Amino acid sequence: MTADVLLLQLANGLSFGVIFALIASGITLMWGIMDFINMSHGELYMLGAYGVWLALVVGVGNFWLALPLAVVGVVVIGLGLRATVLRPIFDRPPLHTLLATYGVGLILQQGVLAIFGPFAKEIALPVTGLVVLGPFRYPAYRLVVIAVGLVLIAAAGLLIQRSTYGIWIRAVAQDRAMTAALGVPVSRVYTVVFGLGSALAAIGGALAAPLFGIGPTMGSEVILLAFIVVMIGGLGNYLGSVIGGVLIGEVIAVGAIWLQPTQAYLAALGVLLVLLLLRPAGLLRGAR
Amino acid sequence: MTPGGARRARGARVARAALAPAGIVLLALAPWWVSPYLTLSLTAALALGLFALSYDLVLGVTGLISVSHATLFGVGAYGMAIGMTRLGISFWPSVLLGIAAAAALAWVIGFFSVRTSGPGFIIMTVIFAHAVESVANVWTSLTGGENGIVLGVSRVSLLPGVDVHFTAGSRSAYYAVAACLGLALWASRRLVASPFGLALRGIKGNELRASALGYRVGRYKILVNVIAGAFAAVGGILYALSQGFVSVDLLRVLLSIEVIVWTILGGPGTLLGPVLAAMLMSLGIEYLRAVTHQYVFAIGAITLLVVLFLPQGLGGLIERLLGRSVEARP
Repeated sequence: MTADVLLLQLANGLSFGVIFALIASGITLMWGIMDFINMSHGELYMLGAYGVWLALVVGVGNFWLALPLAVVGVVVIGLGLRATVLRPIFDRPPLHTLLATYGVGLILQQGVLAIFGPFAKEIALPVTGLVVLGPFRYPAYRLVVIAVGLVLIAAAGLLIQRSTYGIWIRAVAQDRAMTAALGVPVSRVYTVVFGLGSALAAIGGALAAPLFGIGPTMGSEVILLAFIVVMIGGLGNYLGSVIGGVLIGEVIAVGAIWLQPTQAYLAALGVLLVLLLLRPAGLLRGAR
Repeated sequence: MTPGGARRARGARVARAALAPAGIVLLALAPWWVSPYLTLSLTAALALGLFALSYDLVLGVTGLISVSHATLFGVGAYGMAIGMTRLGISFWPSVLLGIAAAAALAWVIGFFSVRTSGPGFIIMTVIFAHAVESVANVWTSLTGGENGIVLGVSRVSLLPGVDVHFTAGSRSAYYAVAACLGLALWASRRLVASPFGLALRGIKGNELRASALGYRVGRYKILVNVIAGAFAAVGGILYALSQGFVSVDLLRVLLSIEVIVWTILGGPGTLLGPVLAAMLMSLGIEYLRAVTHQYVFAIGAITLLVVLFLPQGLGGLIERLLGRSVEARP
């Protein structure tokens, strides 16, 4: 192994990490604020990828036009699911929301399988060409993924930190009953959080589509890593999920130099287990 | 209680006293009047009933939401299959290997998962379940991957002169699995009634109070996961023997979700309820599998519908249909 390979994989790891962070941050937001584990989150990611592919197939000429369309589509589906399925069971114990979202995920996955078939779809890289990056030349699209992903993650973070809704979101996370008593429209806050989480997952799927291909099981394949990231970051911790995402992205990418993909997944699990022994409350707990 | 209520309660007791022997007789005679194919399905259903029983110790009795129970069911079956076909050891040591492998994995999962509480525990079990499923999918030299492992066990000698034949539709296999389920039910009842079971129920009732009373809650959670994992492994081994092969389907997250649904349908903590629900549902899924390729879609829909409309399980449904509340069970 040369230093070049390591540098290349470190850069790849950052692009993986941004995609993992986009998925994991939605899961952690939904838990932190709405107290439920979204088992169908991987399917929202999968739908984001299919959305871009579908938009390109029906004649939207440009990837950067297809991406927002896909995200809007997924957010509409996500909010529809929230209104029809999750809202009625909103105050039930976590077991029920866990099962309901898993059922929804299966239905989405099997629905996509029935409509679009089991075969992987591919879309062309929207940005071709290589960028000279020190000693090696690097695919420009991966740099775009890193930049776009980080900007959007930061924007969502700022929304949570600075906007009126952000203040409401954090207030609801702390004390739902008290916040409601003070006149904050809690239900609308949940809708915003669910929409934001869905959007982040869809963006992750759309950005990942040209890199990894598109298939009905891509969501259930990525969800293992997403949950590992969520646990490393500390459940409910937005910044933690971003840092955890980049960490696991690097583990997978650098691990890929020596390991098979599944072995790299196990390495990621190993990182989580070691961290659990050292910092059981999550990476950033206590450091905040 | 009103006189009418007392009469109804007595009626329910009488009904239950009559139903239980009737059910046992029906189950005992079933293989003599149904087809060999249905006998095979019933044998599998009994093994899945044992699996659901073991999960009830975790979810129903202790209140722990684990999404890795099928992992233990499948690892038990794989342990036996790998022992016999890859390591070349004989039947009974292979069975022990399967049970030990599942118990050890249950300990590992429990050890790490109890370090996080509430939702963290759930997510840790999801992570372990996915990880084991991925490994089983790709480590084909060990697990046979998509093809699974064909066991090639047709006859097991229980006692001198008492043989169990694991051929399709075999009656002796049916009775062997039924006997194991009966034993497991008895053992589970004893376990729940024991001081250990009392502690588990205490943890379900109020975890904080249990730990304030000096119970080491984490250790109890790990231990119940290990015990239930060993039971699940027995279920997995019996299921695999009745089918004649082991496949990745046995340890999928999907099956872990299904067993949660069965437990809810049967009534968490009632032990017998989840067994009956598991048998009914698995026979139903077996039927769906035969008539449609979309059975995974159907499982998703069933999962969702149960949560939305039957959160109180089949007992709750019966109460609603009868328009009154059935006597609460201990």
